[in-house]
Amino acid sequence: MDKIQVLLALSVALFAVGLLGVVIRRNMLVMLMCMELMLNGVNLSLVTFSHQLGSTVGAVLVFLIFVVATAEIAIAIPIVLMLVRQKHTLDLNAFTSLKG
Amino acid sequence: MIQDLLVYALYIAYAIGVLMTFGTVLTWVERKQAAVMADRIGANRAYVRLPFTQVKLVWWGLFHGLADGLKMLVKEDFKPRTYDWYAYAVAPWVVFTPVLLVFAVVPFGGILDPGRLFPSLAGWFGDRTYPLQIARLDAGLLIVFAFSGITIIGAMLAGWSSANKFSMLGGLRAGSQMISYELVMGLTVLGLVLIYGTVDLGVMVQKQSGTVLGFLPAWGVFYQPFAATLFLTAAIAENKRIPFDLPEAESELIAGYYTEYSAMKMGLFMFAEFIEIAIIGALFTTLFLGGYNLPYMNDSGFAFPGGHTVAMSHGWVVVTQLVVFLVKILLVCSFQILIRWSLPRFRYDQVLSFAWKFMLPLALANLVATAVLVWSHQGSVT
Amino acid sequence: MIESLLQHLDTLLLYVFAACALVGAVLMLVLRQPMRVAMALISTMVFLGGIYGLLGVHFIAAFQVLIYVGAVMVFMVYVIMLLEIRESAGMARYSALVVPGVVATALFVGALGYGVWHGYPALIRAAAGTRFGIHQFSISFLTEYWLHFELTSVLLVAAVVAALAVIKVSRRAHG
Repeated sequence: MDKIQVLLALSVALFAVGLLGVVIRRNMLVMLMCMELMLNGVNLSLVTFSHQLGSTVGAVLVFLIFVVATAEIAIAIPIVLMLVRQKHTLDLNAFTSLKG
Repeated sequence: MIQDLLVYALYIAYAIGVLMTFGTVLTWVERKQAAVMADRIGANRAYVRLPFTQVKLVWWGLFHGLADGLKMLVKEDFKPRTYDWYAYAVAPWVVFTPVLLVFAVVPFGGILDPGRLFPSLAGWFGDRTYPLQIARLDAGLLIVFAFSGITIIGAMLAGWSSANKFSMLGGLRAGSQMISYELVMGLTVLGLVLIYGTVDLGVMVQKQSGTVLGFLPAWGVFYQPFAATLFLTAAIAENKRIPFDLPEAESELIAGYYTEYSAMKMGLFMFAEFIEIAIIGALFTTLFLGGYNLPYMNDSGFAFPGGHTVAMSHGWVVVTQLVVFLVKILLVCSFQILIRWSLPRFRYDQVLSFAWKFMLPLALANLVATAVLVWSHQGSVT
Repeated sequence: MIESLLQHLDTLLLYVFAACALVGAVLMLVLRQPMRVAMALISTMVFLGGIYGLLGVHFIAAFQVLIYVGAVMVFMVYVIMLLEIRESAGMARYSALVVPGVVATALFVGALGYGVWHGYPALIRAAAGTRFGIHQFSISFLTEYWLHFELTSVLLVAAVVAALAVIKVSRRAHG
């Protein structure tokens, strides 16, 4: 059981748990946090490969993912705030007006 | 291996000892300095009576710190009805621990060579040398800011989890203020990073042991005086000291985000604030005041600008560096206490507009000017 | 005994941090209150930062804590405080897709985990690289990947403009 194997398995697990959280949970903020968890899983796999190969590509991409995740949260949360202002609840099943 | 473990365990004990002592002594320094500035005597009622005698030792009020600590330990730790008992219990530790951890990357001395210092242990240590820094990381300054960011979460959790509208207001104020001023703090030191070309704090201190313009010591405050004042202001605001202490303003919010805390939990908040005064002193000393060295001093003695050198033995160099570092921290701390007892408090919208509309543009202007200066010197100013 | 512990300390710590990160992630699925979910995510991120530090990339660990915990999660905690909507007793934690979700995730983890575990010898062929520090990272970031750097700054400007637009729209809608 090598170090790299454990870290890649952890990265898969974090990504899967995040994906499950986005599908399962009904609270919008919790869904956003599970999306952050997915991004963290991907970051871990990139850092692991960068460590294994000794090249800086993985670290650069991780840094760019940090920036992109921050920008995404900075927009997603105001969207959530405006939605909450409409329906006064964070429950996802309340926003079904686009449903056929 | 065992030698490394022993030396680093000694460093960690030294760091914790220094920080805890500073946290306690600074309460006394604050009281006495405030008294001297206000032309009064200060707190001098707490005494220790020697057993079996009637001799009462007052010692200029030093025992008040002991009395405060004892009071916080034995007071009733009531548990109010909270929104979230877990967040309520964890928040003081989230505020207290990162403040101690910042000291892990600060260099408090030059190089320690145990073989040269204690010739009887030279066989066991060999010729290993250890820099007097707990964690010699190449990203030291980034780690400082990373840990300062964790305390923000603790303050906000404390304000939210007490079921109290005033605490919530204090927590929101604390969060906004700390985020704004941490951003400004990061921008102010970027000019220094440009000049020294590194974010490693140990290397930064070593680069400050030369001379600039022929006779001045190459300290950060001579390269970047404007950034030094901005950094000190932003750090005092981050620590929520007067004149920026709206989150804990007594006349407005009772006690802000730690209203519902008592006994040791509130003690942790207060202690964290006082230890952070010492940490700000340590950071300012490392970045701008030449770190642990006296002017014109380096790891092997003095090197004066005329070419004259004075060699010192290794033991004297280590002791001098340790003492000089602590004295410099104490000077910066007493400067912060001076500011605290001189200025009135800002209003809250003034605090935030001061950060975003005044200090942020100034920090960016400083960065641009420094970049132009470094570029015009073909990239090597030191 | 202490010598052998010290020699394998980094591997031991790696396993401990990995287990704690996974526990934090699973707690995110189970906890009822959003603030506790946020605290679980913060703990997972800090343990991941510890793992990055153990792998030698200290500046990435510093950025992880600085950006994720110090900015993203502070914003998230701030919004949870502002909205102050606690899950009421009647509100269900999970949507209707719980059972198919868990089954699909188990299949997903099984497939990828099998690939990681048994396909691994193919990866070992890559040469063990050297550790790089912030110096090499900065050089390669600003020379080889300067285009990505500039595009990211464009993305950040777009995010700032979008946030300002959201504020303006919400102000107009509510006076």
